Amino acid sequence: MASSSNQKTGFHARSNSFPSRLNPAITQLDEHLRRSRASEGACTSSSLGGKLSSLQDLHDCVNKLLFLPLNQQAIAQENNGKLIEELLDGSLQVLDLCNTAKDALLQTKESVHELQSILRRRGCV
Amino acid sequence: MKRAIHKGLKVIKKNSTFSAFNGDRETTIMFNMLKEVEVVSLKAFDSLLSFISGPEARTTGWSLVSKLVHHKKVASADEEADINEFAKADAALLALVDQNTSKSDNIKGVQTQLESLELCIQDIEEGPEYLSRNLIKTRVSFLNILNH
Repeated sequence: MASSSNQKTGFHARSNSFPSRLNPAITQLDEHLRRSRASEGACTSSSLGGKLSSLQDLHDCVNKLLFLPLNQQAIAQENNGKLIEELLDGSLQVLDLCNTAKDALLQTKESVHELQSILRRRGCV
Repeated sequence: MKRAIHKGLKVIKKNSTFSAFNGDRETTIMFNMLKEVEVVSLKAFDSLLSFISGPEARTTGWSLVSKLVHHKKVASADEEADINEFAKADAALLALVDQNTSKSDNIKGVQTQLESLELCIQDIEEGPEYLSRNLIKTRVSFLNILNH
């Protein structure tokens, strides 16, 4: 009986997911992550703005995190090479998608302007 | 383009758990979070792109516009129809072309839809621009850290 309760508490301590004393930047990032996850799902024109701005906050936070010397040291450790590679690959994918979205919006805007001027000209004739 | 997105998402999902890592707790948490940031970002962009391109089933949408804008065969044929502002503008154009008249009412309707589409784009276009700059900054600091 006694031993089983000991095991229990031992397990409990280990499953504690967050150390109590965490870097504030990490806590902040976690907060932003939670917010971004909450706004996941299909976009509507009204939800889009909020979604994009929470994504912006998220990435601002990442950049702040990367400025901290302690985190830079962790990243620079050689044994993390594989993880870093994965992260860099992933960030390239995200950047790629971001640029695709940017271009799609730009193209649409140009098409809209062109159509508008065509219609204006037609309207005048 | 969409296929590329979904492929990317699949790859990310496969990689979303980390290979064994023996560092201290905080570093592990940080790495997992950075990974999570990437996953969340990919999902967000996926839904943004779906917003612009509309559901996969609707393939006819924007072809009309490229027909109208003859000289500019936009590569975005399947990128730009949507149930929202994007689709409404498209539907208005469709009506205009179908009737093949230049009734001022029809033209006014199309112009109104185009305006709201323009406003919709104005509202969101800054987001990806800002994010793109930010992502490049992230990569630069990452690479700088590694080179020092």
